[in-house]
Amino acid sequence: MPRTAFRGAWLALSLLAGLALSGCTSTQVRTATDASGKPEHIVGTVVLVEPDIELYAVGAGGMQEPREAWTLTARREFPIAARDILQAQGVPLKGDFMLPKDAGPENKLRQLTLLNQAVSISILSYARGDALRNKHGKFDWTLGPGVAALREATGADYALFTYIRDSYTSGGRAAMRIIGFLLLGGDVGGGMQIGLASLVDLRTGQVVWHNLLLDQTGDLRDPKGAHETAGDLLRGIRR
Amino acid sequence: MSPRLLSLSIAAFVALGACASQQPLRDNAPGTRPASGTDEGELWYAMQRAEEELQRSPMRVRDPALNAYVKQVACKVSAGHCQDMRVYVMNVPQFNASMAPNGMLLVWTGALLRMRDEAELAFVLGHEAGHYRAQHSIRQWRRMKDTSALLSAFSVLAYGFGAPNTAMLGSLAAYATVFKFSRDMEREADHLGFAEVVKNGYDPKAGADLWSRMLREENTLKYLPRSRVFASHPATEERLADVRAAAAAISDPPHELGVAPYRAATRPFLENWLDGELSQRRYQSSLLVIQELLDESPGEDRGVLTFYLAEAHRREDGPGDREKAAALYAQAIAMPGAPAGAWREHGFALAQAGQRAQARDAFQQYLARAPQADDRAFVQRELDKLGGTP
Repeated sequence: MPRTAFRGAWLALSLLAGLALSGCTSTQVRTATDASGKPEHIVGTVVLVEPDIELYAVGAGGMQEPREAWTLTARREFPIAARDILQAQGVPLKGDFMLPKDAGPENKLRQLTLLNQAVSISILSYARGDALRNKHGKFDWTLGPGVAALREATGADYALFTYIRDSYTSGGRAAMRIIGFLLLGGDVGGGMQIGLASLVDLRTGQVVWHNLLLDQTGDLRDPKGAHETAGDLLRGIRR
Repeated sequence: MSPRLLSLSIAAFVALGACASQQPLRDNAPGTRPASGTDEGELWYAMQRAEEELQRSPMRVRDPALNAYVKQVACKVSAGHCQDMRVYVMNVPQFNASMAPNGMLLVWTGALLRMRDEAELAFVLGHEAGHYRAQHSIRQWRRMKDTSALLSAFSVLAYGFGAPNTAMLGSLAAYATVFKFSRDMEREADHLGFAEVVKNGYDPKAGADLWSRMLREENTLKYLPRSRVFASHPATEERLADVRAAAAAISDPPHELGVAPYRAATRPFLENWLDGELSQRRYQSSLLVIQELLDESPGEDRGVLTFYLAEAHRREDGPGDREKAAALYAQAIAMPGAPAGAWREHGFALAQAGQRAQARDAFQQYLARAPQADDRAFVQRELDKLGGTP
């Protein structure tokens, strides 16, 4: 069942996150290469697709509670920061693409954003070394020629998809962590940031660059933090 | 951890839980909503995000007439909370209905298939509206959130990792799990719903009829996990006893069942929902569900129901099922409203029994009745094998 598959993927991701995190930031940048083995050169304009961001607080029991105000701030701050960073690198940008609220199941553009998520999850699950032998160790993923619809809608040559889930430790959880250290001799965990970004060539559908960001210290709730997160998440997009 | 420390931390959790549940509830007057920034406000916000996803789900039944009908019945039994509730009919072939904290009411098509009349629908919707009126989800949420990490499931379902691309059925199942109310809350919702049913002139026996039907179905699930409704609600027997007693206590009860409007609203979906029912591959309970529908059905549905009963036998394929299916296909084609597929399957049964001429006749009937059928070439090939002419 697809549900189990997704659960499995995300479980693996969180385990991975747990291992990778000892209070630091980690990124996993993957880049498509051309026939000669050099990274694909990125030539053309980029459109930032409306980022998928949710922020929540980790309660004393470890439960994640939604935080509307934080989320709205992050949705405002992150795109500003992302555009700043890309512009500073000389990437020509098109106007941001927002998916209409009422885009239903038949909407091709919404289907593309969902397809990108599915491909991203596959990349995380299978892009490690020789996990899929028919890839021959190459980073070789595509959304297919259907991306033409997004190219028509935006006029851009590349689409940048971003996805961030971020959680922050509440006072109660911080106390639990201290109790955990004292009583259990271990860390019961606190807030954590998970970011995914992929750059898709809208002429071919190819995923030319992909990053997974895991961070225990990132903070999207103010411009400075948003800038840091965007910098980490968009690392290596322009070579 | 030493037992003393363990009990200490359990005590700490219990203490936290106790103080959390003492928070006063908001005055839930019709048309009101929680202030933003409160824990209930955040919960509503998260559910609203989930609802936006759900609105775009391909599993939603979008037929305006059916939605209008279910909504109208929900409004009747909502005790003035009509404007607070949004009804979504979801194409899932199991019996369930659920109420989210923000008034998002889900009814699965498997439930609509199993109901006989408007009174039964009113009973179920009145129950769900009762959860909303009594603010069960925020009570449950507060009780859970400070005491355990149980609800990390919540972030998966509505809010966090991968929710938008999770298969919708998975999310729906998660809804059912997350808003699993306590028995006392279920009982309270039952009482609130029941009172609305009676107040609106519906027959108070409706709930008992529905639950005794569900109990019979539950008893066919020998090896399969109990369906979600039974996992999250008080045992069916206990509930049946409760609604029976409540109905018996009403003197001079109203008798409105609303069979005709219910049938008019749901009849166009009968075949579609029966397809869904069989797709679950639990044929023992499907045989019971369809047989009971057939026993109580008006004449014009008998062709469809007899055909699907035959299909359940054919797919179950146990000892004697093939013969039973063949006999039922033969009956179905003589009944009003039989789907074209009944002639095709009748044809295969006849061909298997060596009755070639009759089989050819049945296949030709099928092609005449369903000239655009996807499997036309396939059936034509059977005809060719039988030596017929097109």
